[in-house]
Amino acid sequence: MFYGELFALTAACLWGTAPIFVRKGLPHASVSVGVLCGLAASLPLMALVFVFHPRSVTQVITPQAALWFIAAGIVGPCLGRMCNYLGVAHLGAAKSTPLVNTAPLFTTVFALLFLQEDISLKILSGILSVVAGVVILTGQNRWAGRR
Amino acid sequence: MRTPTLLYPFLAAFCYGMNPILAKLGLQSSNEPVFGACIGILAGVVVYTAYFFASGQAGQLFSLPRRAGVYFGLAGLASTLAIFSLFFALEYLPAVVVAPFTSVVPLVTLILSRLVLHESERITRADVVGTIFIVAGIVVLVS
Repeated sequence: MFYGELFALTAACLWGTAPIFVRKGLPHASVSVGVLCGLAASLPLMALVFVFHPRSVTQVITPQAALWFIAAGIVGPCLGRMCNYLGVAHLGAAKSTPLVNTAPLFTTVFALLFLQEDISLKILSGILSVVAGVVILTGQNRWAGRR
Repeated sequence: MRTPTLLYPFLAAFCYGMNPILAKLGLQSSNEPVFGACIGILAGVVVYTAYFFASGQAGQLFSLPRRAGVYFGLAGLASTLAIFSLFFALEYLPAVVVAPFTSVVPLVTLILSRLVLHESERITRADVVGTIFIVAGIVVLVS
């Protein structure tokens, strides 16, 4: 069965579609309103999870875990989404999204710095490829301006 | 591209890069990723709503065209459904197999931009080449 692959691809398509909707909405309203509407639209889905999950949230989530999840939520869906929408507003969806998706590069660097993980040839080649992509994407207007 | 505008996507990448590390610390105490994601998004909603109203932006909601509200709502729904879809994928496949699939997000956006936003966004050859390099690099990093 290919359910796993299908769900993974669905996730990628949904994440890839979100900046298009943001770009379509931005000429009519500010980034702040966009982030608020986007977050508010998530609430009904989350309510369904809390209602239909077989176990109660207080049974399975420790207070310490809740604090980490809250921190993750403030950093990701709140601050991350705001910067993401600002990027789409200023650079456009096609240019901003690849740059936003360099996030695993930051995770890798954090893991190398704080978890003292070894840097392998594979990791190094991945980093170099991402950096090359960033240079190509961000440098094009500067080069065009010099010509 | 001006440097200050370039900061936004990189700040977003920094935040999204920190997110799994914080979530992983939470999962070490309670291995409930769906609840964890919901608690996180809920915290984001509460903090952002408080900031929005405290900074005196509430008036913008009254002048919000319905069309824009629908687009932003769809963007939020797509992002949240993507998170749930990712969790379902992780029930069938190990993370190391799922991660490369989700790395193709910029390619999806690039294709949709070409199809849907062709009037407002110009896609250059450098956009395509740069995106392919980034996606290839992320696939190598996450697989």
